[in-house]
Amino acid sequence: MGFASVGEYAAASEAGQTWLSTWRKSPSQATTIGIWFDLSMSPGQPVPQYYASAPGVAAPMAYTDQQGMFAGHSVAPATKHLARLTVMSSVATALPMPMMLCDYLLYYPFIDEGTTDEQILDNTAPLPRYASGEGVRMMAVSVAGRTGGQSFTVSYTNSAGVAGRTTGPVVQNSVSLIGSIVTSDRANAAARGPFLPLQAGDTGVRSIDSITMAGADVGLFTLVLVKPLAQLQLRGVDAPVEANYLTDFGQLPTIVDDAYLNFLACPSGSLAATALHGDITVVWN
Amino acid sequence: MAGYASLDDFISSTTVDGKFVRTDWNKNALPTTAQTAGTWYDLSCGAGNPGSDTAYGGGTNLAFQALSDTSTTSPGIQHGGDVSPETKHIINASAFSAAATSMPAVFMLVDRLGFYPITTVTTTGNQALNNTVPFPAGRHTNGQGLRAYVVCSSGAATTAMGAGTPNIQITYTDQAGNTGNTTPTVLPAGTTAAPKGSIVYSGTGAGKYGPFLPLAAGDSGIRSVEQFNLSASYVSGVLNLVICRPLLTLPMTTIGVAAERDLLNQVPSLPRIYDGANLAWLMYAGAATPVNSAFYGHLDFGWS
Repeated sequence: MGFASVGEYAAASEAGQTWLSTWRKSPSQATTIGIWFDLSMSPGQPVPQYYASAPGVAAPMAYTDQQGMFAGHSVAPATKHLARLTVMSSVATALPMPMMLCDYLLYYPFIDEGTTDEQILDNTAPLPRYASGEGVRMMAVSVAGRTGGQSFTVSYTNSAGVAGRTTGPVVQNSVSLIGSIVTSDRANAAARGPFLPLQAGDTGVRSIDSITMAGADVGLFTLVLVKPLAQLQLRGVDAPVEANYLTDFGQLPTIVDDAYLNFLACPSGSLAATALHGDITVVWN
Repeated sequence: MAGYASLDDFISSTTVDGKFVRTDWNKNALPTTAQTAGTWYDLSCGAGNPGSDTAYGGGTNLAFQALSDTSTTSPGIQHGGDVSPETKHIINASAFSAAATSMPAVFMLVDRLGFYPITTVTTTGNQALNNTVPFPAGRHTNGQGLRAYVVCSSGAATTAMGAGTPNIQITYTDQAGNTGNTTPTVLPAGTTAAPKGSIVYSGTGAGKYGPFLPLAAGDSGIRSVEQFNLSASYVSGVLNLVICRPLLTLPMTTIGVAAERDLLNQVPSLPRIYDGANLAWLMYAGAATPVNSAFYGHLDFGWS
């Protein structure tokens, strides 16, 4: 499984063990500069999903359930790898824009910002992939707007199986945009970027056990566990960004069978009326 | 040994031995309906050079028809003829357009091995395909790497599909010889009134894929297709199940700026062009592309 040499990679490609799919995302939200944004909720191809299920109950995500980017069907016992990503846009407003391809694993919907009580989350469903949680990150996606400025603390079980780990207080931005990452804000020193911080020494998250707001607000957000897979930068409208993960990065990120794939993006302006286009190519062996 | 043994061999073959040909091409977007953003199209149905495909939809219903570089009614981009026992490769490729709102786009070069015309688009359930004519020998190894897409077209007519949205499924033999494999769920869904030249299940929304029909888990090719299935009537129109080998992609962002691909240095792959290959472009429209928008470009081929 996998590739022992460049020759094996080339042979697999020649044998047709590869799949290309195109995608198109056309957000309607007027995103804000420096605020990370979850493209999985935006219209286009793949179809959007809205983190809609029972509040606080862990809901696994998979291609066969929510339909993220289509990277071909399962290939086990072979392993599938990201070979190439292409992204382009003909609208400059939101550029330059870092983007991050993630495998969305599981979410806890409708975290209530209106209470300072500890909210215990239901972990009946485990992680569907990356079962130990190694390399898995937490992100908080806005699904109902807020005033902003409050902070919250998450208690989680790390990838070694140790419960009771905490993020420490994480402040929310004041952007009420649906789909924005509530903890990212370039104007707030206490903001944390797309992912929630982990306790010292931790390298991943197996489950989220509870969340506690330090002060009440009016919004709702969803906590999502994702495995970051690859990054690229869309810099301008004059050229596509083509990332070849073998020749450009010397790595071929693994894409687990039935992965739910989608993008996070950090725009430099509004993404409204901006269509992002691209393709994804995987290869397996 | 066929192929290039070294960079020196490549330079010698293309310069000293003259084993090199450049072909310029020009293809237009669809002749009747503006292309829709997010949808794939088969540009062989457009005007230009090579000329428009008028073979689609013809011949015996459901029977495979092979294509080659000498097909007169399904002309492909010329690549210099047969070179066996040597092997031919694409060295460079380019594409550009000056047509307003034609960008962004992605072009994909494919070798069309052939197609099954399907005129019985009101028939639901499995329809047996006729494989009396096999996939062209020498352009694949047991179907490895072959893909399938479904395009609306009927000769020179500009007829669109009817007002239907059937799910589409094929039953095929995979590259390993496993029979009875089927397109897995979620099944591709046809677009209502899909215009001539469009890949009918591509686009944005549930059940949309692009450009190829998904294969069953673990499959990497198609050795033959045994059945074609519409879940509901497509009401009218003609479909074609095309078998092809994808060769390269060219993303294009800017009007008037050529997308160029160096396949020796930039993307070291030198895709092989088999004798008889019928080369055509598929196009992913990133914007509403006006009728007959013109695209131009070239392909460099070398062999050794």
